[in-house]
Amino acid sequence: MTHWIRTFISYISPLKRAAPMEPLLCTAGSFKLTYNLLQGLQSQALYQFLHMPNLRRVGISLFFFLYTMPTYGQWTSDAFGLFDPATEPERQAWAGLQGERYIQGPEPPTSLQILMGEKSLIAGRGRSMALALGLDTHGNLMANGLITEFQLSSEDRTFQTESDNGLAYIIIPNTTLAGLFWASALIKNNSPLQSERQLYRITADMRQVVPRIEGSRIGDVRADLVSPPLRDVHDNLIDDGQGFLFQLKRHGKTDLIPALSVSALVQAQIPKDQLDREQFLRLSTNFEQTDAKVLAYAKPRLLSPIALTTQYNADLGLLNVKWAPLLTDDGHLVPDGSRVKLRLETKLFDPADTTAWVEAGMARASLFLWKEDFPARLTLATSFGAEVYEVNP
Amino acid sequence: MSLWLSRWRRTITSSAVFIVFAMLISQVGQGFARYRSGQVTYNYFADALSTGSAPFDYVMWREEHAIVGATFSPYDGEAIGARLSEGWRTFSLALQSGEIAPLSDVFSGPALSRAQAAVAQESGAQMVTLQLDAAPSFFHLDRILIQVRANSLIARFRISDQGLEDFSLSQDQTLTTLQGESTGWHIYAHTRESSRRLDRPGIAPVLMPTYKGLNYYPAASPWRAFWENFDPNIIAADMELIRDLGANSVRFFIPLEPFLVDPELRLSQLDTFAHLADQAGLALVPTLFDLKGSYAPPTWPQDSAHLVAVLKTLRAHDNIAFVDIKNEPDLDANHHDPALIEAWLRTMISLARHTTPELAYTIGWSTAKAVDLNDLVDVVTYHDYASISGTEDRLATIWTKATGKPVLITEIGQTSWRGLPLLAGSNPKRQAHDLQRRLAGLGHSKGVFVWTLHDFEDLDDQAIGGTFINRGRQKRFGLYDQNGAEKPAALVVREAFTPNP
Repeated sequence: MTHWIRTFISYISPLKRAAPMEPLLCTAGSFKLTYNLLQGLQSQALYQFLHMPNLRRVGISLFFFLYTMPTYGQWTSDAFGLFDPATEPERQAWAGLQGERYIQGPEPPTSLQILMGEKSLIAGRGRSMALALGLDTHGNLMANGLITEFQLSSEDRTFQTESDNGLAYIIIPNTTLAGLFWASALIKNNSPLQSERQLYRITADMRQVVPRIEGSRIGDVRADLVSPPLRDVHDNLIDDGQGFLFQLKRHGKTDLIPALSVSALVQAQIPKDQLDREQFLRLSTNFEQTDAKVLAYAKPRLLSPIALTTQYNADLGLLNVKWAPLLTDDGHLVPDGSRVKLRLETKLFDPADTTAWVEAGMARASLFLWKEDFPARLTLATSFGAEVYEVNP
Repeated sequence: MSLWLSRWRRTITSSAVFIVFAMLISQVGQGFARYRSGQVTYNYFADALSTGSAPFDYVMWREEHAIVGATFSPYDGEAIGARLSEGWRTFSLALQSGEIAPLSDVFSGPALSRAQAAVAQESGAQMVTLQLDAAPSFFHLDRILIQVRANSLIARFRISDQGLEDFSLSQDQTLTTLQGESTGWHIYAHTRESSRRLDRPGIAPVLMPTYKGLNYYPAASPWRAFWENFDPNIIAADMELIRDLGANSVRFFIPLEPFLVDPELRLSQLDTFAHLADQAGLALVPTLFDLKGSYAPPTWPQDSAHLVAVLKTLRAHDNIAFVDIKNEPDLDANHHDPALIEAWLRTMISLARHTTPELAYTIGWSTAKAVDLNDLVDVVTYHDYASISGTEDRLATIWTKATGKPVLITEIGQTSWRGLPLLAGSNPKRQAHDLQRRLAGLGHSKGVFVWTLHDFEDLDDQAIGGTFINRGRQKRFGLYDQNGAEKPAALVVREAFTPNP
């Protein structure tokens, strides 16, 4: 019984939707015609049917329900093949051509999706598109001619367009304002339908960013290389994560120090002991670079003379030497771990080099020397300067 | 004497019973062995291998198109064309197999729901998209959505317990929306906007001369070897030989397989063949899809493309008598659903008429009994290897069924193979005699084609099979023997084909 009822409903339900489609072809009340109507779902026949007096309509419906029940309907073609309207009533709601003549239209949209692109626009350049895709409750694309309004937070006005082939779109005008924005679409129907907001970003035009170096702060251990807040030609601050290179040039050697922008600033650090008294600094993007800027550094010198203490063991031929304190002219001890190069020169042998490290402002070394080697010449060199001593037992 | 006769009869009878019994045991034994080993016998390799077909892009992009949005590049055409082909191929495969899972690889959104609903219906409804003549109409600037408007050639039908039902071949105007997703383009929405049926053309009566012809393969390269070893010199000489027999036409074969490898070369060979036949004053009966393996719907787009390419080559020649769409399709019913074969035949003939309406079409049934689907064809043809005594009656029956359409017998023939001493064999004289009787019985037909011009030494196992008797018989159907000498049958044919003064 359920089966019969479904058959009946499947015949009747699409009739209302189909009603206004084509000119009338049949005579009201004709069994033959209504039979055709039910078999082929001819919309115009349905129109007639729906305009009959209620009693007659019910009678005819019952007659055809009973008449067609055993055959269970006729097969109809659509975009996805063939179907039996009696067993698949939902499929009659799929928009498009059904059978050879009947066109099923979509119902008013119930969901609206907005597709933005390109997702990342560049201020003052390129085009983007906002597309509204509306679906009705059966999954049909929305009808043509629906007024669709787009709202873009990067603009101070709305844009209206009509849907076509189930879509409504606008080309987003070229804007010079960078930032994170949202877009939404609205269909102004009897019951307005709004899409969710979709975010889009407009970034500063990196092609038109001229990098600048604000200066550098040289601390105790390292030097900070810093740019001022960088902007494009439209006065937009640059985005985070943009790639830059600091170029540090001294004594014919160039170091490249990569850096990323954070809050429109570009920063990098280099250890202070790698700095010379004078070097050239540049900041570059893929497109532009700053002029070379001289980075001067008042590097401290070793405070001399440095007291040297020696102790010689003639039996072993061992000379223990100690320099302390190792001070720079700004009054600081030479940092622990700083390397000290020692060179020993005697009359009989070639010069010999060795290395020591500073610890607690002191440098020590043990050297093998026979009595015959004295007097010897001993050179102590640090990155802050050098001292030469003549040593006797 | 009578006692001796009686014993002799008893001995003969019991020997015969023993032989029949032994054969029966042997067959049962072989069947049981096959069953135990899980072995299945296929006629063709393609049957055994095919569960679909290789990906085949059947989307043709119109050069002229008006598009809104992004520029549509050849690369886009390639990517989206491949995806559309794959999508509709997957859909037809799903309808056939009832398997829903693969659909989500190529469909999404409402189109996925619809494709799944159509498959889940399990009604036997099938839909095969054969060709898409497409043009992009909208392309999102971010290349995340595209709309394609297409003229789609689509076959729809149902296979039920009653056989083939609700068949149609139509040219649909469709609008397909595809979305770019992380796994590639997906068909997101699909609508049919209009449709034109192509399977209901009015078939005009065909006026044609009486054809007296031969079926043709070169002596050294029959069946699949023909196109591989195509030699215009040999063909030109053979055409003269056929002409010399008094024939006015040749039936030859255009299988799909050789045309897949290098279609341009094969089509130029086909062009050459038609030209050589024309030079000899011979009309042609091109016979397509011989040795066809699968009738699975996903293979149809490739069949369609082959058919259209061949017909477009043939249309340039004036000497095409008619086109035989399929050689002996009834024999394939042993391994394929007859309703599916009928749907395929209806599709191919409707497509052929749509492509080249100026040509006439037939189906080469293997026997008079198999003749069917006369509503589809311009010319009714069958093959007659049945008993000679019933030749005239069979023709008369088909004549009645043909309702005024010309009736031709496109294969008759007799082997001259002598066989083994104890096996019933033939000989060249008997071949000539039987052929003469057969030809006499078919005098009222609109044409006869004799199988075949040459005896063959190297047969095609795929076409003939491997049994000793069958191979022996098939080697000796020619009017010319393996040395190129005329057999008595050639004289009979010449006499029958040459008009009386």
